[in-house]
Amino acid sequence: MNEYMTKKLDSVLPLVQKPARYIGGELNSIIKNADKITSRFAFCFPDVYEVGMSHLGMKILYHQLNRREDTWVERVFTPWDDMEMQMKENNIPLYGLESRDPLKEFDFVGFTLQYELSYSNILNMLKMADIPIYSKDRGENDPLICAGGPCAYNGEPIADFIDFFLLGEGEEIWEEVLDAYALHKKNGGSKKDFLLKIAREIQGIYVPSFYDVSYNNDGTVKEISINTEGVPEKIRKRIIVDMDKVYYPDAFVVPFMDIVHNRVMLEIFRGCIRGCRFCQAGMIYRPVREKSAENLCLAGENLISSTGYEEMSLSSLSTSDYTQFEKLANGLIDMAEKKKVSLSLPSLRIDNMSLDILKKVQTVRKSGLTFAPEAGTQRLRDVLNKGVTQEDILRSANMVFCEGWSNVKLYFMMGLPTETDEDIVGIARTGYSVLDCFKKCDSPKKANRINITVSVSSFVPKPFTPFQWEAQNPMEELVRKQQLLKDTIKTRAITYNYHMSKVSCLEGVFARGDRRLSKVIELACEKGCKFDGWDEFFKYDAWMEAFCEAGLEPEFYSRRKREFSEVLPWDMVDIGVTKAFLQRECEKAYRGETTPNCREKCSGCGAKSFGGGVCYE
Amino acid sequence: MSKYILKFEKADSVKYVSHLDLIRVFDRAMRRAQLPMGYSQGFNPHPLMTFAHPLGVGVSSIGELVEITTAEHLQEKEFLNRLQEFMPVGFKLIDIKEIEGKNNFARLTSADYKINIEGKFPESDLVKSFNKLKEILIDKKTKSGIKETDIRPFILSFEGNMGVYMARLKTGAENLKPELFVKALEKYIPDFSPEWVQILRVQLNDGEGNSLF
Ligand code: SF4
Repeated sequence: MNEYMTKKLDSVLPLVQKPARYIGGELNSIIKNADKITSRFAFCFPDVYEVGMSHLGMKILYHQLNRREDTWVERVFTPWDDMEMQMKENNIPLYGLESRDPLKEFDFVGFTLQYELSYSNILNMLKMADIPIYSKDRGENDPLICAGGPCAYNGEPIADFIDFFLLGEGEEIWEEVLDAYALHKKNGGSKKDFLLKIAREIQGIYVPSFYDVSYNNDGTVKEISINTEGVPEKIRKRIIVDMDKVYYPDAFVVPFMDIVHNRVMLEIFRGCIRGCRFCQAGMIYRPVREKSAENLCLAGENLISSTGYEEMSLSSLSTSDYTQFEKLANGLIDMAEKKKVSLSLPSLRIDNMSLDILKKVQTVRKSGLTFAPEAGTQRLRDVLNKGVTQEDILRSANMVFCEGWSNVKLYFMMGLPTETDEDIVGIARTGYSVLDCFKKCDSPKKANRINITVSVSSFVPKPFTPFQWEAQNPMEELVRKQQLLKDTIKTRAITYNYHMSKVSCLEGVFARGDRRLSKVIELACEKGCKFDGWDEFFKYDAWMEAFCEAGLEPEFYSRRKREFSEVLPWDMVDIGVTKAFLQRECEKAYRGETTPNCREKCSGCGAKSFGGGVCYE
Repeated sequence: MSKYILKFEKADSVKYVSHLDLIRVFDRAMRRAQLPMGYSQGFNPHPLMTFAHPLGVGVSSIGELVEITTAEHLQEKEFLNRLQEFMPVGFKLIDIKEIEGKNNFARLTSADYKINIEGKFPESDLVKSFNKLKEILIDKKTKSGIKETDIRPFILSFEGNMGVYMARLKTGAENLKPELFVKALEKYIPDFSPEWVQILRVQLNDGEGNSLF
């Protein structure tokens, strides 16, 4: 471990909150001899330790890539602002948690892009590492800066800072990049040689500097063109076709301090069969690919043994769509009992599963049930292609009320395409009908009191969804709708939660942004913007100033409805699902027509071209 | 159910692991080691485990004590060796003994600290001048908020020189944290400004000054 840094850290760590965020050395973290390593890779999660350490993708890649003898992956999180201040005052550069070596000494500094609101943190981290933020300003001795994760599908707003993006699932592509890098280091050559090689030879690599973007007078994209021979016109995402053959860690790093998801997580499948039209994850992870229940039970048991965790949970977009759910749940429940582990099963739709299993799951007992109707009327739910009806909700609610549960949470969105006031009032009505259902329930086990929580968030149109052409509601409109809903809910039995924040405007801008926004992010960062996803840090006015100085209007990105014919900033990316399919879905949405899920009937979205998963079941 | 007291070392970075987090560290190590941890009854069972007089974050120790209740009787040495294998780096188990009874840590009323200091020192003998003081007033957290308190009675002994010192301070219901002790030095000794301080707890003592091991 870097002795110099350790001594320096000893002088600041007693002065900051939660110093365990910055020490490394947790159980199952991996220490290697840096002298024997070809590729040193700083895996950066641009948020605080507790959030980043909860992320499954990072755990998978960390343990997988550290199996390579030529590679050492270390973890880096964003220091909280008290630590940032101490580091600045004491000249401590950002470092890898394992070796405590400064980031500047690494070969790769890779960011995972889980949400748009972390972009300012990325720049801030580069600055704390003393690495020039713009790709063009970095020299041969600086690390390669790269990024992956869901927001990388439209990483254009940070394109000027990133040397290369990795599109899609990381397990295979990273092995290929590291192989190429080992060869490159042996043979010599410039950074550009390396970038060119991976852009040409590895599917899923997007090097933004090899592409030029021109704009029309109205600010829309005119053309995206290649400026370097041999790189692909369209960059196609990577997926793992056979989920039973892909690596899954048999150990997780176990943090000393508490983190957001402090438990064993089992990923049961990738993708989602449902095709809700607002949901980006449902499109970019297509097609659905499952793991077998046997493999999962085995993995669960191994992870419990190697971590000592007392809790286990499943991870997927919609747990109850897992085809071997009964088998898996029963297997895990048995094991949990044996090992004194509690099991939590998130994102369950209780309409298609047995109450028996539900009853055995501890977290359900504690926290109650969750439904996500997303919209308040059947009409709008059809627009969204959200395959949940009022009857579904009431039937499930009745079932659980009869069993004595008393907590129900309902999730909705506001500001959706085609939405009217009728739909807003419908949110309240849905809450009331659940309440009625409780009143009518005459089971002896029924609880005395009921707690219904109605939570509403604002809709943000995302790229690669059927709603990618839609306008986001202006703030004033959302405020009005929020008030309307508040006035419609008049009972204490229903708690209304609305997280009204200007943050979703910013999210809306970056989600569908183009390269010109890099300047805005740079300016905002200079004005002290960071941790934008955290209310206590978010500086709306500073962001607006930054837009103004860069000569760009946020409304252009968020509030403008696009023509189907418009060139979109992310058109060079191919996620398998075609633009034609997305347009078709959008048109169907306007007509209020639903689309069956992948298991009912294939709708020809294009993802079949990957040659696996649900498309071939 | 059987009860054991283990003495352990908290070295290097794990000195930043907070008292609350220690419970999880030991519980998970017990689970990994497949040792029969004892749990409380009830809806939310918690591991039966108590630590003697929590250390401040950033203070290391070679004399920490934890009392662990197990569901089955275990051979002392086997228990210690097995658990050691599954502890994170930085936690070294030093000794173990089986005990009975309750509140075994209550009789531990003082702690010895080794304090290393780098920085600017006065010409005169720091220890001598400090020990001469009749009253040492310092802002201290008490049950009724932060209050200026005379900590003289909490300092049982203080010796050493050249930046290496030993202090015996009261612990338990009436206690003085070593960090605060260093602050008091800074306040009362002219021309003394520490730049780098490292504190090590050496052992916990009963009223007669004897340790449990
Ligand atoms: S090709 Fe058909 S089955 Fe496959 S993901 Fe698309 S809609 Fe679903």
